[in-house]
Amino acid sequence: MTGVQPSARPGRAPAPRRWATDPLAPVLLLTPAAVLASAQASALTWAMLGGLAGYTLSGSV
Amino acid sequence: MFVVGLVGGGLLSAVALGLASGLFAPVPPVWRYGATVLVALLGLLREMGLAPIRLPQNTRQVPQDVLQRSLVRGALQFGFELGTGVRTYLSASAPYVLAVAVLLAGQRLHVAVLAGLGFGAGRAATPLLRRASGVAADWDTRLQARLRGITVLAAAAMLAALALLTP
Repeated sequence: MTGVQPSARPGRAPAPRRWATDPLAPVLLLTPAAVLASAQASALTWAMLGGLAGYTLSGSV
Repeated sequence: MFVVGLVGGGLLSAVALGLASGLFAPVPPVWRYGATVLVALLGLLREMGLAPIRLPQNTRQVPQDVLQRSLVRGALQFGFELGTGVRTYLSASAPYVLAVAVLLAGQRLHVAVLAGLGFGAGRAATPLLRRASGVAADWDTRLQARLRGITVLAAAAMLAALALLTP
């Protein structure tokens, strides 16, 4: 027994945490939400589009 | 303070665009809608590598010394400059599409406010998610691998959503 979880490898978080914080996760959540909101002409569409636009700059500082 | 700065910067830029959008009010809504969808389409094609469009950007980074003078004020300034979207590099098409959409379709100020708050929150999601991941180096590696997918998917979502927002 080493105390290391089977899913955790050195330099990597445990699998559930890794999936929940995956860099693609915000886009996968916001994409259908934005399209659904726009189909209902909801003003929240703009917040979601803003979120998507801001997140695409993840590689920029 | 960094996140507050990001949201504040995004809000300022979006409200400025929202106020300027009044200049386009005389343009018929159908034309503004068509132009917005066209720009969103060009943004998607650019992200897919099918339209080599060079976009204007401020080719600078926030100087590191802003954090050395005062950590709290520096974090606020750092975030604010990044949040405005006009003070540093802009590597993706989606912020330009959002700016055009707010400028052409945002004759109501709450539209600009929501877009600005969302933009700042979207920028803030990167450091928050990276921290939450627990292993920053691994997260950075995964981000590099997924960055193209992120920008293409976001551009496609913007095109679909803006096309559905009929005038």
